[in-house]
Amino acid sequence: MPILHVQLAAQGQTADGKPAQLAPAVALQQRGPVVPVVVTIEQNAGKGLLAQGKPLPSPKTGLALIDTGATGTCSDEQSAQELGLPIIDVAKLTSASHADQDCNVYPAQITIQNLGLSINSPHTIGATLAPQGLLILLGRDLLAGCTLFYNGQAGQFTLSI
Amino acid sequence: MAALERERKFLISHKDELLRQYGGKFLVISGEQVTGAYDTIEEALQNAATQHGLANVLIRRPADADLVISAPALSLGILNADPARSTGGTGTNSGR
Repeated sequence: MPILHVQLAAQGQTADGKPAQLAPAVALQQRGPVVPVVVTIEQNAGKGLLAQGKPLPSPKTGLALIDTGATGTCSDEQSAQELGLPIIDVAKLTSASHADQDCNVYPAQITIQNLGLSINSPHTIGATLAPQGLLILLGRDLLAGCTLFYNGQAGQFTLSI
Repeated sequence: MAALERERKFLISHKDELLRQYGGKFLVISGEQVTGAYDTIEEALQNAATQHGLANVLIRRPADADLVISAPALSLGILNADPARSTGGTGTNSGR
């Protein structure tokens, strides 16, 4: 069973504006549990393209935030378009305070780099994530097969699949 | 026009007929045509890519409702909230 153990490091500023290393607990609180990922087209769709001698879209790298609050996995919409992923459905993003929003659905494959593990995500929802420095929100559909330990005091988290 | 609007309208307006004909299979729909029916989403994705390349096609079972997702961090705009500038209220967005 692959296990990824992470302790975040980040830099902040002292009261007089000098750069200073943040404590791992503070870094984890501010950044959240993020992991480096590579995104490309879903594996089976990729096989279909290759069978026709068509090239696969070039993968994109970025950060994924593990989001236990999200029912589904999301990808940055702009990045999904740049990857050339096909839209295969439209989903409704629900909110208690806003009207439902239509979002494109893309078939993606997400590789967690430090885990060396690729996960097929056939229904990845397009959303605006890039302004937050994110490529992916890993939602509960993919986390369903994972164990996650969040150690806030130590500024560490552990993900196993 | 929203993505796959024609395909989704076709699926909804022909739902009963498609259910009778294809049951619980995953359909690949391009325009107003069913171009394939498969037992699994993986087969549907592979064959859709073989047939249509990277073109947008609807892949859904006739009986499936719209896919609904809840992601409070997105919909409440709290992904970019700054805890260091919290006002103590709820749902405050620093606008950073």
